[in-house]
Amino acid sequence: MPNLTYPSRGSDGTVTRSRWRRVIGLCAVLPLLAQLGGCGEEESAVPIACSGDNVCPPARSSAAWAIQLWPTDSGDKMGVDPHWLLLPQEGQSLLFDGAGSAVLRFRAASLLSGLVMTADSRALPRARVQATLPSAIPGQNDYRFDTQTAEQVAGTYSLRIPIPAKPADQLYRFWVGFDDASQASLYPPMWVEHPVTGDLELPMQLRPANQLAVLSGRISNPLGEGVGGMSVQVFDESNQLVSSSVVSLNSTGSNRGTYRAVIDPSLAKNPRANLRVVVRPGPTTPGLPSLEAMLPPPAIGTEKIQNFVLPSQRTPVQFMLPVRGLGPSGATQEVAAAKVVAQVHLEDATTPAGVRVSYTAQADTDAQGIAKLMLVPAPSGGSNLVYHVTIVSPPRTPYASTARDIQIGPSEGLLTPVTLPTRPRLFGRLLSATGEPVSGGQVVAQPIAKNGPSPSPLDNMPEPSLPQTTTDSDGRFVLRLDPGDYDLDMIPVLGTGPRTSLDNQRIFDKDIELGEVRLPRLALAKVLVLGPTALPAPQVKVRVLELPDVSPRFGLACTADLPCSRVAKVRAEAFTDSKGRVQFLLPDSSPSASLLPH
Amino acid sequence: MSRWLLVITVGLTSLGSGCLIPIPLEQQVTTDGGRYLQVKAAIPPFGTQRATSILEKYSYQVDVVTDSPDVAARLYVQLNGTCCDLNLDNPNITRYFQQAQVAVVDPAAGSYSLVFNQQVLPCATGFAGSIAYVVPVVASGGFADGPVGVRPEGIGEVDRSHYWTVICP
Repeated sequence: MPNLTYPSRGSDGTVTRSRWRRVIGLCAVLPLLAQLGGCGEEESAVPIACSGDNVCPPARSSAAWAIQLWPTDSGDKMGVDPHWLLLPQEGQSLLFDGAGSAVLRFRAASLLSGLVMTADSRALPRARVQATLPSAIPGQNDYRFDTQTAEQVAGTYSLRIPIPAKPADQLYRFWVGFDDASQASLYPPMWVEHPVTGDLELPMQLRPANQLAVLSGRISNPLGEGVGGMSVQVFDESNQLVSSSVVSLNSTGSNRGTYRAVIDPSLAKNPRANLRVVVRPGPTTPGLPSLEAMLPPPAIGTEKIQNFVLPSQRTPVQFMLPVRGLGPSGATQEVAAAKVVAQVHLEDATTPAGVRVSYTAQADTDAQGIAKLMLVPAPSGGSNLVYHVTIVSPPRTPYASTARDIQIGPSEGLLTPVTLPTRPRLFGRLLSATGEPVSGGQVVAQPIAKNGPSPSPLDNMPEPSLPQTTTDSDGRFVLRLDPGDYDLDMIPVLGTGPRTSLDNQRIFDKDIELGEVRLPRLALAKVLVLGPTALPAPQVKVRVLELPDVSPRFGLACTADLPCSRVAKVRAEAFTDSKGRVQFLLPDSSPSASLLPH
Repeated sequence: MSRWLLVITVGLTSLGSGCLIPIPLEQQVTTDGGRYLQVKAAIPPFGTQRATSILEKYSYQVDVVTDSPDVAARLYVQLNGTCCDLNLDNPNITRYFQQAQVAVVDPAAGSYSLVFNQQVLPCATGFAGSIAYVVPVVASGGFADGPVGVRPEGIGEVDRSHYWTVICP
C-alpha cells in the first residue's frame, strides 16, 4: 500500500495550496524551557511535568487503569527471531510505583501454524484463518490477526499472534472462512477456541457432511418464476454466520431460483435459539427486498426446506424527502448531511408464514436538505405503503434526530417535508482544578450504548451522531444533543489539563445546565516500554485507558433505571521515544459539576 | 494570540523546580505554502479485516505527523468494490461516515491522533460477500466545505491513499 501524500485539488482540478498561519509546538522553545527546568534527560514524546500544581505520582492507580500498546513497526526483518516481534497487546491493569513510573514489557509472539483440510482430508488453499483475541478492556475492539492458507504448500498457514496476559482466561478464537465466493458456497465457516501460551500447531479440518445440516429451497416471484442471484446465509442470534454463503441459481428451467446451503449447527452461540435465514439481493438483483425467516436449530444430518416468495412489488423509483429543522423562532431551515434510512415491510398474501420481507433505502440529504431515496412505490390503485424513516441529524446542527412513519403513494416525486424538532442543549463551564476557565478544550458527547438483543441483520439503523464542541475563552460550552444517555468526554489542550469525562448524563427533551465543571488535578505518569528481549521499544503508541465504574450508585448511575457507562476511555496516548520512554498527564480523580449531585 | 500568551503566562508562573510544561505558542510564520503531512500509524493497522457478521462494528484511528494544526480527517466507506475513487453523489458507491476528533499527541513533533469515535458497520450497507473499503481522508488544512461539510476535497496536503479493506460475509 503506498504511503503517499499529494496536494488536494479543487473542484476545478487545480492544486490547492495556500499561505497559512501555523501554531507550532515548541520546536524552537522546548530546548530553552527544558534547559531552564534542568530536566537533564532526553525529552519524551509528551512534554509534561510533576511540579507546581501537578500531582505525582497518579493518585489513582492499579485497578483504575488499563493500557494498550500499538507498535508502529513490528521489527519483522530478515534474521530476527519471530518470537521477538512487537504485536499489539494490552494490559488489563497498570501499576505505578511510588514515583509514578511503570515498566511495560511486550510479551513474546506466538507462532501459530497448521494445515487446513476439507472433511475428506484434502488440503484447502485460499482459506482465510483469522485469530481473534477478545479485549479484556471494556468496550475495546477485539485484536485480529489473519492470513490465508497457501497454494504452493497447499493448505498450510502460519501467523504470529501475541500471547495474552492471562491465556487461560483469554481464549483465542480461530476462525476459518472463505473470501472466494465459490469456496464460501461449499463450506460453512468454522471456528475453535483455544488458549495460546506459546507456539501452537493447530491443524483444522472442516466438519464432515454427517455433522452438518442442509437448508434448501427456492426463491420465486409472485408468478412462480425462480429468482436467481439472491444470496442466502444463516446467522445465529448474535448475527454470526453459521452456514455456507450461497446464491440462488440463475440457470434456466426449473432449477432457477433454487439454493442449497450447508449449516453447522454447532457454531451457534446458543444452540437452542432459533437461527435466522437471511436472503439478500446481490449486485445483479438490486431493487429487490430482503427476506428473513426464523429457523429452529436443525439437527445434524437433516435437510430442511425453506421456500421464499417475493411479494408483488413495483420497481423502486426516486422519491425526494425534504428534511427541515425547526428553529427557536419557529422558522424552518433545510438540514444538509442528515443520514436517512427508510424501511418498509412488504409481506403480502403470497408470503409464506414466518417470513419477513423488508426493503431498505438509504441516502444522505444534499445541500438543499433533500434525501433522494429509491423507494418501492405503492401499487397503483392500492393503499399507500408505510415506511419507517429514521433520520440522524448531523452532530453540529440544532435539530434533533427523529424516527417516524411516512406514507408513500404510487407516484414518484417530492414528499411532504419532515421537520426535525429542536435539540435540547447542555450548558456548562469548564474550569481547571484551580478554578481557572479552560479555553479551547474539546467536549465530546459519547452516546452510551444500550444493552439488548442483537437486532436483525435486516434492521439497518444508522449509528447515533457524536456531538462535540470547543470551550470558549471563558471555558463555556454548549452542546446540542438528541435525547439519550451520554458520557461527556473533556479533552483540554494538551498540557493544560487531564482528559477526563463526566459520565452517565441523561438528556431528556429539555435544556440542562451543568454549571461549573471542575477538572481533576493532573497526575504525572512515566512509562518505560520494553520489547520481549528487554530492549527499549521505540515508536510504540501507548494508550492509557481509565476503566469504568459500574458499581450501582443509587440516584446517580448503574441502577436499573439509570444510565451506566461500561466503556473504558482513553485518557492519554503518546508514542515512546527512542529509549522506549513516554510520559502522560492523567486525571487524579473524577470531574465534578456544580449543578449535579455529587 | 492573546489566548496563547495567557496560557504561556499561566504555565510559566505555575512551574516549579521539576521538568517544565512546554505550552504551544502561536507564531506568525511565513511559508512558501508547503505543508507536511505523513500518515504514521493506524489503529487497527491498515490492511484487511474479515467480518464474521453483517453487523460487525469497527472503530478506527489514524496517527499523522503534520506541520499544520488545522489537520482534519473524514471517514468514508466505498461500497462498489473498488478503491478509492470517492463519489459522494452516489450512495451506492460512497458513504460518508464521520469527521475525526483531533487530539494533539506531541505538539513539538507535530503528532496528531485522528480518532473516529463512532463505530462503523461497513457490512451493513453492501451486498452479501462484498468488499467494503474504509477510507480515511486526511487534509492538512481542513476540508474545503468547512468543519460541518461531508465532502472529501481538502486544503493543503491530502492523503487518501491509506485504507482498510473489510471482507463482508
